[in-house]
Order: sequence, then structure tokens, then C-alpha cells
Amino acid sequence: MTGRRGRFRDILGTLRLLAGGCAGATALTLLQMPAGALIGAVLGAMAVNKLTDEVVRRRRPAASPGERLRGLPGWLRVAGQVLLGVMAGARLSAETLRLLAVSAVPVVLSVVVLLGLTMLLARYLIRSHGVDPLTAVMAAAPGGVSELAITAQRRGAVMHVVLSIHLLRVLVVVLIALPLLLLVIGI
Amino acid sequence: MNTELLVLLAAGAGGAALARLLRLPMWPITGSLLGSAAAHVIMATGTNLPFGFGFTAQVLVGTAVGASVLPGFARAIGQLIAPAVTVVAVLVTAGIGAGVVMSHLGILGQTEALLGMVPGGVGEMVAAASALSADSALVAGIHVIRLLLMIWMLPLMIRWAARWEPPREHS
Repeated sequence: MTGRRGRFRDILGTLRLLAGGCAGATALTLLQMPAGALIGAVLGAMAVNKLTDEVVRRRRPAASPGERLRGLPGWLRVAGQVLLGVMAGARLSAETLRLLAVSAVPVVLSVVVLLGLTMLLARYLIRSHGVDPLTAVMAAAPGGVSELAITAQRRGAVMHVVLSIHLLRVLVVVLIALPLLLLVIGI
Repeated sequence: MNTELLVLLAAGAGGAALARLLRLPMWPITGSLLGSAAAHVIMATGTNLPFGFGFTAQVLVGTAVGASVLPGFARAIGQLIAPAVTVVAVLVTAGIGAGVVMSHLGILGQTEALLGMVPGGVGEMVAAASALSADSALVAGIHVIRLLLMIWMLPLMIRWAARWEPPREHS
């Protein structure tokens, strides 16, 4: 009975998040904001999480954060990424491959510079904030949250530090850098 | 739904499953991109994907990001505010800088260069590229290069950083 109720609560939570994401995406798309569906979905889901947390905390003050909220099931995120991959693949052209080949060396050089910066940032985290070297490198690495999370967990990094910094990076890019770039240079 | 769209979806799903088996980085995107590209080349037809397709993908990816912001996040970031902001600001500024240089040198288009070089999550940047009608395959390709390099270099970087750990005092 409890299991069935728990499953029902999970499904309801997922539907609530999707409804919030969909409402945010629709609102910003209707306002003709570039990339509005993506930005709106992030804001909508965040708003739903915040509201749900407030409501449940008021009704059941003893409920733990895990009981109050659950993230979106991993397979739904994967489904979204597969759809994006299909869209990209359907548009793949000889010109895309040519551009990728032409830009490969500059891209590799840029990534090497980015990895150099990662090492400087890791040194700063170790020396100034007493973070252990593994956690520092994992937290300052430029991306691939899912890949990094697996490696970080396996090697014993402090997961909440690594994940918090990566989540902040994604949020800053989607909610601040992307709208600013759209506004300033009109991409 | 027309047959070509169904074939593209099936090829994308198959590609993603194969990429997962092969443990490719960002397997849902890289695998489905390669699978649907293969189907696209074999069918040799241009398929117009419906608007709802891209919208759904962006809603799913965006909702997943928003849903990861749980109540403890603000507190966790509050405790790490200086290092977290420094790390994020440096990485994002460097990514934008690299994108600006690449588009300025004419290596890539402005949108593709910026979305490709900003380290903001592969799914999120490919979704943004798709929303802005940019070349999302190119953006995905650039991010895959970044991820592959990073994954290959990570063990070396960890070993190097271990030298900076201050010696522990023994009583």
C-alpha cells in the first residue's frame, strides 16, 4: 500500500514538474523570447519545486527534504537529449562536417586552455579553501556533469561540493549568460 | 507522424542504445545524433521536424535542470559562495572569450562558436542551438571534443593536483 502510494506520489511529482516546465516554456515562447522554451522550462520547474516544498513543509513540518521533493526521473532527461540528438542528426550536412574538421584544432587548443584554467582554479580551491585535490579538480572541470559525477563518486570526492558548483555553472549559463548574449550581441 | 520521422526516431534511439553500450560521452545525444544522421544519409531526404519536437526536447531538458535545484542548493552554495562564484565566473568567461575569438577569426559562425565554447551543459547548449536555428550538430560535435579531452586528461590532472595538497600534521 505504502509502495503504491509512494509510486503515485512520484508520478504526481513528475507530472507537476513537467506542468511547471511546460507552462514556463509556453509563456516565454509566447513572449517570443529566443530559447524561451529552454529558459522557461528551467524557471517553471524551479518555481514548482519551491512551491511544492513550501506547501508540504507547511502541511507536514517533520517531512525530510527527500520526502518533500524528487527530481525528474533520469529517463525523461535522456528522452529529451535523444530528441535533441535526432534533431541535430537530421540536420547534419557535409558543411557541418567540414566546419567541425576546420575548427577541430582551434577547439582543442581552447579546451587545453580551459583545462589549464581548471588546474589554476583547483590550486586556488586547495590552497585558499582547504578543498582536497580530487574534489577541487572535479569541481573546477569544465562540464560533463553526468560523466564527472560517476568518476567523482567512484574516487571518493566530496559530492555535494562537486555537484553544487556544476549545477551553479549550468544555471548561470542558461539563466544569465545565454539571455545576456542574446541581448548584447543578438545571437 | 510520417514514416521518415519514425525511421529517424528509431535510428536515433538505436544509436543512443549502442552509444550507451560503447560508453560514449553524453551517449543520449552523441548516439542519437549519429544514428539519425546515418538514417538521414541513407534515406537521402530532407525531413522537416515538427515544432512540437524541439519544444518537447527543450521542455524535458530544461525541466530536468530546474528540478535539480532542491531546497538545500541555496544553502550549499551559500557555504561555498566565494569559490563557487570564482570557478563559474572564470570558466564561463573563458568559454565566452574563446567563442568570441573563434567567431572573430571566422573559424565558426557567432552563434555556433559561442554555444559550442560556453561550458554550460551539452544538452542545454544543444537545446539552445536548436531553439536559435543554429547548427546544433556542430555545437554537439564541439562539446563532444571538449568532453573527450577532459575525460582523457582528468586522471593526469588529479595526479598533478595531488602535489598541491598541504602536508598533514601528525601529532
